[in-house]
Amino acid sequence: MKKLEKPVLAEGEVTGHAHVLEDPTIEVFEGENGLREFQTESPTRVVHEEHNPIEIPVGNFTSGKVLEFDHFAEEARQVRD
Amino acid sequence: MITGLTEEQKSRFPEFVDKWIKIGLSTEPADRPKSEECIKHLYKLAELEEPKIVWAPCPLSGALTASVLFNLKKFSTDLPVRSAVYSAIYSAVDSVVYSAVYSAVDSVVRSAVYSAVYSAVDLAVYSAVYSVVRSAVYSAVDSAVDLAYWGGSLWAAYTAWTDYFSLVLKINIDRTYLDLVQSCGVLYTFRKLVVMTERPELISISNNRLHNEREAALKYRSGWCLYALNGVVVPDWLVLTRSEEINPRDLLKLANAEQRREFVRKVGIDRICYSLKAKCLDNVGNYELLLLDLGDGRKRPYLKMLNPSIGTWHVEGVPPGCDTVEKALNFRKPNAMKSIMIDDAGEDWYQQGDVCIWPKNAKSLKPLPTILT
Repeated sequence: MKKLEKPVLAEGEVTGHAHVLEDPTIEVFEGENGLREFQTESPTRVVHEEHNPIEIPVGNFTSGKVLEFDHFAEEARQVRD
Repeated sequence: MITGLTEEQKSRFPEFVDKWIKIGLSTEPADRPKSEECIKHLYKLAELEEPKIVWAPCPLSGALTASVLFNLKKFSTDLPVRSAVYSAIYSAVDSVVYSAVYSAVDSVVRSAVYSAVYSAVDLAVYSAVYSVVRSAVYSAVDSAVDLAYWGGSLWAAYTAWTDYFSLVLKINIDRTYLDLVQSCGVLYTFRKLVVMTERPELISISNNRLHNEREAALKYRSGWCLYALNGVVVPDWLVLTRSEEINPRDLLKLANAEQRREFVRKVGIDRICYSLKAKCLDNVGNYELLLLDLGDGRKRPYLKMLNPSIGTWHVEGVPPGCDTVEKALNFRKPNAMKSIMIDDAGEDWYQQGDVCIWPKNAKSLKPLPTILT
């Protein structure tokens, strides 16, 4: 697992916007499969420029991006935003 | 120690917000002599050898110039100049300002300029530059140039904050970095080399987002530009083509979900559904599973859904054979999540846009996210 410099769960490629844990002290780790893991010791919010914040309770969490199906390439892939 | 702000001091917040947004969004040509004087001073502050300075007309040409020079000369990015500048500023502030005061100025002055300049413009510039640099150069060079990136005028948020402390609270701060931000665009700093760039010629902003429905939203004098709608960098044709002249079928050619969102916003979901002969297979709440005619004799399922936060529509493909919203939503979950049993009494999980968050060792999860935004 690689520790990320910032507590970011996913970044957008055409906006630069990101899903970010509001508490900068939380450490986020990324595995080779692209999943990210983090631990919260108090409830913390995930913020993004174009989505309302969500509050995550205390615990160990995994995050990953949703999938879509490209009917031209005929393959499933992570949504690119 | 400064432990609080007077009402008079607080009343000056807007002055610094306005001043630094104006600086951050400046489209004046760079003041090259001033910029060079500032950067040389900052290198001296960091006890570094005076750098060679090269000018480029925009951040992209600057990044490519930096890539070439880095590759030829292997300039070091192990650079104490940034940390020297920051520590000079922060230690001056930290030594005399109580943390509550620091936070009050940060939450009003810095965050307002941050939204208007950094979030709106710098993130788009940075992403666009690096999508080109990453595909054009070796990854070692790409990461070196990444490390060397300084936003210049586009990083006006922190200087707004610093300026307030300097002028209102009379804290003695070396103002050279503030002068630098006021005089040039993006820069790339290496040991012995700085590639400095011009500011944009045009920045078009709406609601704190890059946006222009008629032409490029961000344009440099070099000709490099970005087309953007509602903060999303899009292909030029999506801006330059009139809505009624866009073929709704082109929606399916866009690989990026945010670009598809802007396509739907411009062309209209009803026209797209009509043109692609949409047939509704199932609907639940704000989700509608549609069979769309791809135009090559195939009809394939797509999930139409509403972004509940900003009220925009998204259309994303799901695999052939998907015939209910429930199956479509299950397909969309990250693969690691699919192996976890679904149970009404399962653990809570959360979804923000295209990111799902679930308890690491969950044995079962609820069918739908507890919070969806």
